[in-house]
Amino acid sequence: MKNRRIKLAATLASILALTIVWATPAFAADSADVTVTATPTYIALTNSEATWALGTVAASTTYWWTADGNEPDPNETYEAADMKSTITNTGSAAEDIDIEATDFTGGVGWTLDDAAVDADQVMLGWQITGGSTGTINYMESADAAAELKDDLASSGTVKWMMQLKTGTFTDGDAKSCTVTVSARAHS
Amino acid sequence: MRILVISLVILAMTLTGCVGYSEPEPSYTPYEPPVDTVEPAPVPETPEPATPASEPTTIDDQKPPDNITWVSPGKVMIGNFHAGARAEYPVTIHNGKDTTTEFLVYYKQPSSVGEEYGKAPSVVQDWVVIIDSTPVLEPRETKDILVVLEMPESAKDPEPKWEFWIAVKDNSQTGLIQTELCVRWLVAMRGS
Repeated sequence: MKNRRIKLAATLASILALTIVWATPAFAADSADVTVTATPTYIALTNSEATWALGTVAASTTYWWTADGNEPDPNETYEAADMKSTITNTGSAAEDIDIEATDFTGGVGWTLDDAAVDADQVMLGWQITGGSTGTINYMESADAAAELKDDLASSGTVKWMMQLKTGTFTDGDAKSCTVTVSARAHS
Repeated sequence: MRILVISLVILAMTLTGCVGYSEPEPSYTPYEPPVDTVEPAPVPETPEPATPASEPTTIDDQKPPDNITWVSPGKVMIGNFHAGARAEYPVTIHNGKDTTTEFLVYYKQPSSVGEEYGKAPSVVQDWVVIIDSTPVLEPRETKDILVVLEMPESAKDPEPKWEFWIAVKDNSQTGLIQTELCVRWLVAMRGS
């Protein structure tokens, strides 16, 4: 009888020891000190104009996506009245607004270049109200997004426009590209 | 007999403790927009043992409009990160449109970063898992998409502090000009 009790106690002790050994690694997770917090804000924006109906374009020509479709006065700072579209920060905190563009696709495609036009190479740029006279910010698809507006307050707006300079063409296929306007919490 | 009873009690207590651990509370609580809490989510005093602790996001001073598309939070801050560690947090998306809409949720290399932060190296993209990268939201629906950042044990530390973005785009946009909303993830390595 005494032997049976000893055997039973030994068995239970073994189970207990194994249980503790099994449980220990779980309590020793190595990511225990990682912390995750978040700012209680939401990010949103609207852009009033989403399209640019260019139609058929001619080689070596400049096109304007402005309020009246014409070139703004080259001797004046860009004015709100020149602008085609309005971006509004509809989020709850200040935002930085970025802009980037892809190359044109369709047929042989057109490459974006920020310095010169050429065969199947075009220049696509943007400007905002108050931009320096005669300056356009040209984009390249390989570049990181450019900051269109820094620290745009909640409910704040920024007006903007674009310009396209065509080069020469080696095909007549329709082309399209995407310009992405993005919002993020202000840095 | 006494030994038997004592052993059984200890065993029961041990097993009870283990069961309690094996089913931890979720590491975050889904975000509910209309809460009026002002305080940012605090760093928890007692970290979870296996999964890094997270706190729910609550909108501060404004109730998000129902009729615009938005994402939240604006920033996710991760502290004490290190090789082998894992952190997760949901990106909340609200569909402000009157139509069912598919969204794209994707990793994005930042174009610029906050003070003291560097751009995340390209390898970080492999450390990010977006649980549902093409969620479909009903009109005016709000949904949490879990994003997990898991750094391999063998990976080298990038910069002490680095940043990447999770971008959200309405996939139904067809015009030349499209919009995108980004959540900034700011990561500070342990000891930084």
